[in-house]
Amino acid sequence: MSARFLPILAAAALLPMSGLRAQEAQPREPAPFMIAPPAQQPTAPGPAERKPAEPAPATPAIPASFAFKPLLPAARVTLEGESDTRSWAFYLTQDEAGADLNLDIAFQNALVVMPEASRLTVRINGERIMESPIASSDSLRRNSTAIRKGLLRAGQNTIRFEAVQRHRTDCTVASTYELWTRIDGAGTRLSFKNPAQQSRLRSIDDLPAVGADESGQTTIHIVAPGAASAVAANSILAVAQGVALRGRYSQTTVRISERLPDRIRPGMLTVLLGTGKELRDLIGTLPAEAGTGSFIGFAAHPKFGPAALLVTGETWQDLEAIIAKLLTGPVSRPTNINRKTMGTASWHVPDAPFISDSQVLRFSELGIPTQESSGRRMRVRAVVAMPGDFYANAYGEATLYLDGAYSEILPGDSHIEIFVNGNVAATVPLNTTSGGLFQQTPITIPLRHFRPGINEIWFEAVTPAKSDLACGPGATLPGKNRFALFDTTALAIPNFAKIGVSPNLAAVAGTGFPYSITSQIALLVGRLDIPNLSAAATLLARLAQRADRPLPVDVIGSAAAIGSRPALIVGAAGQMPAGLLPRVGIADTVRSTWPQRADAVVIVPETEGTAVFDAVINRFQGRQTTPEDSGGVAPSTEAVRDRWRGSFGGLFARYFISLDRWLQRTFDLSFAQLRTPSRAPSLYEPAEGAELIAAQASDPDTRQVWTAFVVRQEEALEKNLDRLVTPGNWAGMAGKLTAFRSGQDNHVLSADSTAFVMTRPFSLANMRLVLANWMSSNIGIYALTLLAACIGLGIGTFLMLRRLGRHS
Amino acid sequence: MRTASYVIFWAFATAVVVALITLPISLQAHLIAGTIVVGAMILLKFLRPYGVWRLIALGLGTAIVLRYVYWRTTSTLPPVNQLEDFIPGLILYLAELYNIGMLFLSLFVVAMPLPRRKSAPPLPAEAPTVDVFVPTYNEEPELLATTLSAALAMDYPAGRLTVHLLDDGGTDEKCNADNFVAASAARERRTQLQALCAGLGCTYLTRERNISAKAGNLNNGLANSSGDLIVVFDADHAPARTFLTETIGYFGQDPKLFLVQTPHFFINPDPLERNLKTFKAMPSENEMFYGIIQRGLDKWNASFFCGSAAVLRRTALQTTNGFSGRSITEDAETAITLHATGWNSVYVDKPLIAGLQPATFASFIGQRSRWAQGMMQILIYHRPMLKSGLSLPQRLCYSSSALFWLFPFVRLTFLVAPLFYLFFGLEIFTASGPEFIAYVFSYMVVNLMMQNYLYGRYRWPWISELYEFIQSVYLLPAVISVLVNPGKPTFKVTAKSEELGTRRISELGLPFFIIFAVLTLGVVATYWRTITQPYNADTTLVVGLWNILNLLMAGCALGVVSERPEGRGARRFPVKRRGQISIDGRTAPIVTENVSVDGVAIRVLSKGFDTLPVGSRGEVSFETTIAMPRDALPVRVARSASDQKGLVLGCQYEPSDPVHSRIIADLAFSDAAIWSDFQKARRQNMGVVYGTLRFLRIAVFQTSRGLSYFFGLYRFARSNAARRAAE
Repeated sequence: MSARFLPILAAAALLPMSGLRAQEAQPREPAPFMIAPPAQQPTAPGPAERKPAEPAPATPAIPASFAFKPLLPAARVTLEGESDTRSWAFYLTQDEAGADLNLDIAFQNALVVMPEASRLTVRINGERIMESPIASSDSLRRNSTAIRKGLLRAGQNTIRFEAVQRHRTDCTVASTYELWTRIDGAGTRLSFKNPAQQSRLRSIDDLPAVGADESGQTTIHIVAPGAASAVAANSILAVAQGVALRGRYSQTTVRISERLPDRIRPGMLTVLLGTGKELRDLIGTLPAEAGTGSFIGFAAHPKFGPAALLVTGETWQDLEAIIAKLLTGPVSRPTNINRKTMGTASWHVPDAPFISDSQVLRFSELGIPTQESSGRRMRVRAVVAMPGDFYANAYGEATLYLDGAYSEILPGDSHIEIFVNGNVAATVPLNTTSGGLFQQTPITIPLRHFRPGINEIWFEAVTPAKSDLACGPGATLPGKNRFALFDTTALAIPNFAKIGVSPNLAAVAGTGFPYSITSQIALLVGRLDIPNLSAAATLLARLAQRADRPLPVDVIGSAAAIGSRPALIVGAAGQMPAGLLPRVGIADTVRSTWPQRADAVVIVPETEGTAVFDAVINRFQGRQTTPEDSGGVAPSTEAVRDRWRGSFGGLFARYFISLDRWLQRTFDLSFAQLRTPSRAPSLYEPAEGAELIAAQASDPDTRQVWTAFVVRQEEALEKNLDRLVTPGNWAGMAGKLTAFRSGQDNHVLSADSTAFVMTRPFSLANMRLVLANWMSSNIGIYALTLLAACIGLGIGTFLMLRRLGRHS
Repeated sequence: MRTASYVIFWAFATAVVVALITLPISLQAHLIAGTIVVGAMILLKFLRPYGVWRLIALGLGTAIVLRYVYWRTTSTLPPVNQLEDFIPGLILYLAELYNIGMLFLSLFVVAMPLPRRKSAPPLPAEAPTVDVFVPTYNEEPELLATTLSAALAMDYPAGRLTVHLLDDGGTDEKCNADNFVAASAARERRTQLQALCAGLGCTYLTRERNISAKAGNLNNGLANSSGDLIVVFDADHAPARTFLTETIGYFGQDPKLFLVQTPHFFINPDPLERNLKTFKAMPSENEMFYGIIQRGLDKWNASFFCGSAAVLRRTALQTTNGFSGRSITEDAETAITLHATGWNSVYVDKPLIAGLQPATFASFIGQRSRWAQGMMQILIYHRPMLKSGLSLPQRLCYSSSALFWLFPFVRLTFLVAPLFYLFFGLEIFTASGPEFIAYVFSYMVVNLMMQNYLYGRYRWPWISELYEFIQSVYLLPAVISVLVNPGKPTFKVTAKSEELGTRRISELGLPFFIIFAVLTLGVVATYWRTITQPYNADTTLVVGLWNILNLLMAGCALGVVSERPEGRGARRFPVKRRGQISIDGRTAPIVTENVSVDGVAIRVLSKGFDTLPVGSRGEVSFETTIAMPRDALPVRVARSASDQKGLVLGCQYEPSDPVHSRIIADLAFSDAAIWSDFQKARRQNMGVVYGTLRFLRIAVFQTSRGLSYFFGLYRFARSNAARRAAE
């Protein structure tokens, strides 16, 4: 049942932040690992507002301060459907909060949105700042409003976009998918009336106020004169992680250089890292604050402007000590303590509750208020986080206790659907024509599509009414309320099986598991140089954020030094030592053959208009695909294969195939599941177009997890790691190996044999659940075990009964 | 030691199975595992459904049933805050749990029934003295004459057997009743029976007052006799000659033995068998009980007294002041009391008596009401599960026997449940279509197969359900009345030989037609729902299918209450005896073809008897197995036919003397082997698939027959007597 999958939703849902990159909300768009050279971008026949993620070159290099502060967590945020809401947090320094500020908004909407009935509302800290009709389908509309003094505060503030949209002509449910309003990252910002009042970071706690650039990216530029020396590497990586953790940025890129950056942009933080001597060599005299001993803090200097983070000490040991004490120490969560939430504030408030045990979450806690909808389709979004040792995909079920009501609807077409990470997880038909009331009505949600880390759950109520059939003039205008959702609705997650599984890249992506719980990690880089270190730092910043603690890495020079520690490996294929790649499941020849390949031709995504149209058609035709296709590319290989398979064979074979399809449709079950996986180890050869491979394996000797991030070409190392850590690509990591391909689907190899990693003290209850999940994914073994146990029971009964009671 | 290790192994195996079953695995896993397990059961059925293989198959079935229970308990109950769904949902759930609980109790009882005892131990050198009690209340003297004659003809050392007729129809109380007509009838009955007893050579006993019904009557017999052992035969249960030699020997083996019970074998069909015409082909209803359950009970030393065809020890009965009369099923009550005080019982699986059972639906219901009420009384008064003195297996056995009679609640719940949805749209069973297929379907298949494994040769598929269904409508109020007021029900004698001259609908038939009509409306509602709510079609179809199953059952019931006229009074059995016939002074050698308690078919071995007018009277004499004072039996020729081998005459007995009854008894009851052969011929395991198809055929045919009776011959007999019996 949950196999049903709607491409339009999936494409967006694949990314926890569907608005991150506007084009990803479009259904026909793959979740690509876009490695298109920027030069090619303009040739794309995309809409005018599409801009490369690169910051506009026109941005003036203001060394002192900027006149604005971008607000969006991504280049674009799309509000979709008849009503949609997005809210997230942004951070201000004391100075910024007190400044005279304007809120600038820029947006564009779909042509079919009816301006008279559609409004965009912006709230800051709950107060309505701006309300505007949505009437700008041909160009970006820019609005600007002054923000009342005192509304903004130092530290965290929330901004909330609410869109109510109605179709101009169409009353169908399908038409609601054509409604969108896109908030533009470059045009949506806080602008300072007086740039002189601007940002001055004073303490480490001000780190979140660095913010992001127009595309939602934060760049940590670490200037370390001694970066090339092995002794510096650990400190650089620790600083990168510490800053990323304490800054709570949504996307972090780390750049390491030995020289000061040419210019400073919004969303960029300069960190000067080195011994006192090194820094003095670089910038002459140190600022007075730095003094002579160890120092971490912001300082101003003519050479790097008013605010750069200075990290210095007399020796590297001093440096390491002060980093541990002041920067990473306060955020070092002990491994045995579960966090309560997972930070999502930079793109979604409230923070996702971190569910490590049975828990009941009310919608009010998940940021979903009581609401009524007069539209045909109402959708709300909840974000929850699962631990890295989440192991309940195969058997688990959560329950949504629904409190709600609906009025007159068309039975048959009306239903409630729950999506988990873009996959349909539950459907409840609304059948009473005259309406009905839900009072803590349980809806079962299989945990199949949940994964470690952040999970997005959509609750969607589709409520067409009789008046929609006629669709007379003005019928699309908001009318009688059709659905009410109360914030007492609760999501109950039962106690689920918890055990680590390796290899499982999804857990690495989700919570940095298993690195999140280890006390020492070996990091092997392709070559100990600055690009490699930058790439590793970018990766570690992301991992640390997901793990919610800085990872204790130790940079090592050769594979032999890994020892019995879990290992991370970053580098270009050509840099990898011989014999290393096969240990993570990649063919060794890749080192020489892969970099030689010609660049893949980048397939340019189709224009948005047709994409939406196709999605609607697909929805109508009920074309269903399997969850594996969640890349959103249609038709998928599976579907095509299935179609071909069905057209061959004799009568019997066809019956067999139709039985298989029926099972697939009804039970989400296929004969293929019964096949025993082939145990023959095969080493991966990158597919056409692959640019980066993430691969994980357990080292056979030490049983420790090794994860390698291998890039095709040395030159693209940093850039590809930057791409990898963007939320869309990051969330695509799964299985034992994921190959990111330019302009195409990710290539995911699921693990054919997995090992368990105990993460918690042994408990019988947990082991039972683990067994349940394992048996549910190894059905044949369950059946045989049950069969054997029953035979044992029969024999036992026979033997016992022969001796008990009378026997003639 | 070895036993203990087996028990430990069994407990371990059980723990593993339960642990596997209670894993919250996915639907897919259940579906696959369920299919494989069911497949294994089917395979075993084809290979070797005996011995250890049978228990393995039952183990497999248990797994599926437990999976169903686990699923049903954890995920199908409607939410508590929707009371209109929850309450009926809970009732249905409890009904299913009851059914499953009973399944496990039966599994315990009949997992490995004791095989039929090969041969009886020999009589002790000093044969114990035996008193035969034939309690009677209102039976005809002719019937009593047959029974008493057969009892007298039993093989036993001379002078050690006394036969007593215990007459409750001629007590002082009855003879002096205020109603003059009844009183004179009672006095006449007493005189007549006294003469009969004198003629046959047995004792007539009656008493002052009719206290404690049958138990009181038997106790009066105990008080007025002194034999070591007591044999009880119902008035219409005639024993075979071997009865005592097959049973008495056990008392010599075990001084603590209080009971040897033998099966009740009926020579006439019950209303279901008669109206559905299954008597010849299908095992009788009670064969499941006597063929396998009693053997199962016997394994656990819990075989109980069934009121007749049993031998009891006087010393045992004396410890409890005779037969217990607190409940209206004195038999089972006596047995549980004695079992609880350390006495043992034995069951001999050989039909040694032949009897009559209620012929009409009304009297059938009357008898079952008594059993149900009596067992409920035992449940309430004795609490078998908690009764001290009983061993654990005995407790389970008695609980199983008593709790069985709660089935009317369950049957009617299953009947009504689908209508909740079809008529009112209440969802009392929350499950998606795929879940329903995966769990309910496998459960139902396994349930049918387990029944077939347990009772295959003794019970066709779906017939248990049908018997329960036809009783439920009337047993439900009966059982409820006991539960409300345990002391209220009183013993009512079951009428057994009734006239069935015409085709008619039983006076108790109306409710079944109403039920049929309501279920038909349910089918209409199914159709209507499918059309108007296509989005709910899968649920509607599943529930509608269930309703159709109920409708088939109800259709069969229409056939059961549409009484067919009975062609032949009693079942005939092949008996070959040589003899001669003399009519109008002519004599000819004959050989008997078949025999019943009413008449005999004889083949005349002489050319002289080419024709004989129907209605002509004569005398037949046979060789008898015991010496008779005279051997001529007066008969009337009822039909006459010739085939190439000669003339076959159907003769009806015209007994006028007690000796004639003894001859008839000798002819009809001397050889128990023919009854066994008759039963054996019916005991065919037809399998689940064929049995189900056959049931479908019966259902369709009986529905149409019932409806044609209803519309063509709407005549509800207004027999007050029968109606009272059913109350």
